[in-house]
Amino acid sequence: MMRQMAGRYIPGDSVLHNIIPSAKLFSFILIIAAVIFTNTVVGYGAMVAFTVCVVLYSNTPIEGLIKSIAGMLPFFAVIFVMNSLFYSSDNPIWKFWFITLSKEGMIQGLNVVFRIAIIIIISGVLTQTTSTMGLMSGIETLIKPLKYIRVPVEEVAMILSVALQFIPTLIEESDKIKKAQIARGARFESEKLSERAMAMLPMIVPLFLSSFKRADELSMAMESRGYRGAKGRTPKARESLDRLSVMSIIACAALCALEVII
Amino acid sequence: MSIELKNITHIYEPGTPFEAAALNNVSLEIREGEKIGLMGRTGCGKSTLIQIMAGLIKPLNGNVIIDGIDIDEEGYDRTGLRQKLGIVFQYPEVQLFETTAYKDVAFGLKYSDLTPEEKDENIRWAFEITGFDPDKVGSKSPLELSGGEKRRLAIAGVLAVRPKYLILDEPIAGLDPVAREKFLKLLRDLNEEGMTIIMISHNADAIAGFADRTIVMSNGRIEIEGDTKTVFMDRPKADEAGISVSTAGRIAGMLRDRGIDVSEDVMSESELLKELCVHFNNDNRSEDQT
Amino acid sequence: MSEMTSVKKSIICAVCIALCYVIPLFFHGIQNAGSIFCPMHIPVFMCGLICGWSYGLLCGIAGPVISSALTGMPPIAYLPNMVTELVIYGLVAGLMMKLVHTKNTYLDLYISLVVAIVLGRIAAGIVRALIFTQGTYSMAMWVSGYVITSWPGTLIQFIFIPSIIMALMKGRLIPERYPKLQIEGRN
Repeated sequence: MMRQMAGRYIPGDSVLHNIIPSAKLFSFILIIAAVIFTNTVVGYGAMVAFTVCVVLYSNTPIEGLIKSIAGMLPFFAVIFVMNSLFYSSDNPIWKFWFITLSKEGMIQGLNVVFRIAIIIIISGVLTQTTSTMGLMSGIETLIKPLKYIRVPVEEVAMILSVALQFIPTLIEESDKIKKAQIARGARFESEKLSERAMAMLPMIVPLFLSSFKRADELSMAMESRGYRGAKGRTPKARESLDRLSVMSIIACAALCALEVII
Repeated sequence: MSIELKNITHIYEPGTPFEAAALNNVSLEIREGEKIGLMGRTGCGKSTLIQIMAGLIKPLNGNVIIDGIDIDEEGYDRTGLRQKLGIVFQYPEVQLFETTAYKDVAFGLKYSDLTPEEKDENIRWAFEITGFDPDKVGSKSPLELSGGEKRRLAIAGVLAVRPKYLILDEPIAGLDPVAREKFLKLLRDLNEEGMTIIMISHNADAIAGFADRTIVMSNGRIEIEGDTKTVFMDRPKADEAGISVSTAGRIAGMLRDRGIDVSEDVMSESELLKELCVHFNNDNRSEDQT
Repeated sequence: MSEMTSVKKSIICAVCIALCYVIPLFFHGIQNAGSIFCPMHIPVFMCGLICGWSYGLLCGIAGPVISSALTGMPPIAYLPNMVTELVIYGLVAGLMMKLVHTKNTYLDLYISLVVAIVLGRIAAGIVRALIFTQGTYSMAMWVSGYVITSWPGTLIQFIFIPSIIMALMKGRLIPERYPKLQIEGRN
């Protein structure tokens, strides 16, 4: 079941592995912003060049990336077709009822596909070079400013890290429940959608029961050990911003600025 | 009529950095009516083996042949397989989901060809053999039962199809000694009725007292296989595979050390008891002879 | 066991976030399962209904974001409207459970669900119209995307969520909403 995770963390020692997570996440956000602002040919060129660099510096297996992009092709096709047919344009090539095929629409479609493809590659690289715990600590650092609008940041960080720790256990649990019900004769290959939907009940109810049971046990254990809230928690040792991380932020900020200007 | 595994090899996530070998060229035959004990350390591949046997995992290589037909053959009757082979996973109580106990036990019979009367008969039989009164418990929510009752109910749900082969993964883990004995008796009764039983357990006492034949796995291979007594007697090999001596066997050994003549092949409690009775009855006579 | 402390609510919220990632894996292999069955909606509703609006809101954000970060599903491009939709679900479901008290657990659940589903789908449609497809988004697309395609999902939500909540109450994993049986028994 784990196989479906395309961007699963692969331990390594590449340049990207070594950027501290909070800086990497921040850079990631900058790249997303840059992608959204990209709209000229030069801008696209810069974006592609940047993406290639990122992939090369991360030692990510190229086939994996190609596969994940290939898997998205039908989705891309749908986006492209939708945009080319439904874009309201003044000089359509072909018009029928509410369908308007236009050059602008096609360009718009390509734009969207390009952006999504870049974001998929970059986020794949991000998750492949950052451990989940790393991502967690990065998110925790980045949401700290929210404290000023009275968001209980420590509580949120605790919930997120518990959620991530639960994922492998729950995957295993769900796999087990699925197999147990299949062995009891549960079927999912029905032709009718509604029947197939109902066939999920024997999976979902036990999964909720067992995960809530785990939640109950964990919260009782936490309370019995005197846990009353995340406030008093000892903060994790902060990773200081090293040169590599600062450089990554600067590079991404520069890219973002470039895309905004041109 | 048998379950036959031919050269089964299985690897989890082949071709990824997370590749992990689970089974390495395992062949095995289980004949109808046998009581099999399956042992081995955690991660030795026994859970993978039973899941392959039940057709829940398709092995990378090799064939599973049940009653003479390869289950991966095109057009194999999977629904039929589910009626023929039941599997009780570790902590089976998680599989309960219906609003009433009766409906939950009936779940496995949903696609069977039996008439409603026959189904009802099967369901009642499953309730009774697992120690429930179907009229009392049937309408309750399975979630309102106690922990031990939930487990028995889940097992009733597997038994309701009256499978010919029953596979159990650590069914007695976490049971108290009385419940454990009761449960093993249930398995023996089912076996008397002709059900083939394959049980995974870490518990040497349970296996020694229950299984006719014991299979010990290690690192994805079958390390030792043979009748239970022989397997437990072969100490060097058994120790290496992490199989401890059963309690009865250990007591017999201690008695021997203290000069009480107990036969070497005592493994189960009942054998020890029998041996001791014979010993103390013959005590005087044997002293006379020497 | 059944008292809802803030620690317990936090952990249940964490579990629901994890389930936002795990449950869609069940549906993996069915074409377009995400938009048809909406499997990720279930834990968010559950979190809002059980723990309250603030936890529902967090689950609505964190669920899809974590899932997207780990698997690429939903694609990041879909995140804004998906997050909006789920945030509304969690938030509204939690608020409605606080406001509606009909003395009947099922009725409370259904009312809260209906309001949350309607508001969530409308909000998602608006967000999508505003940012995703830039002026090309029409009423017809909203109807096809959020009403027609996802009807099996809506059906699942209506049937599954109350059953799951009732099962959790039966299993004494969450407190009964109206523990009147015991009181009546005593009178």
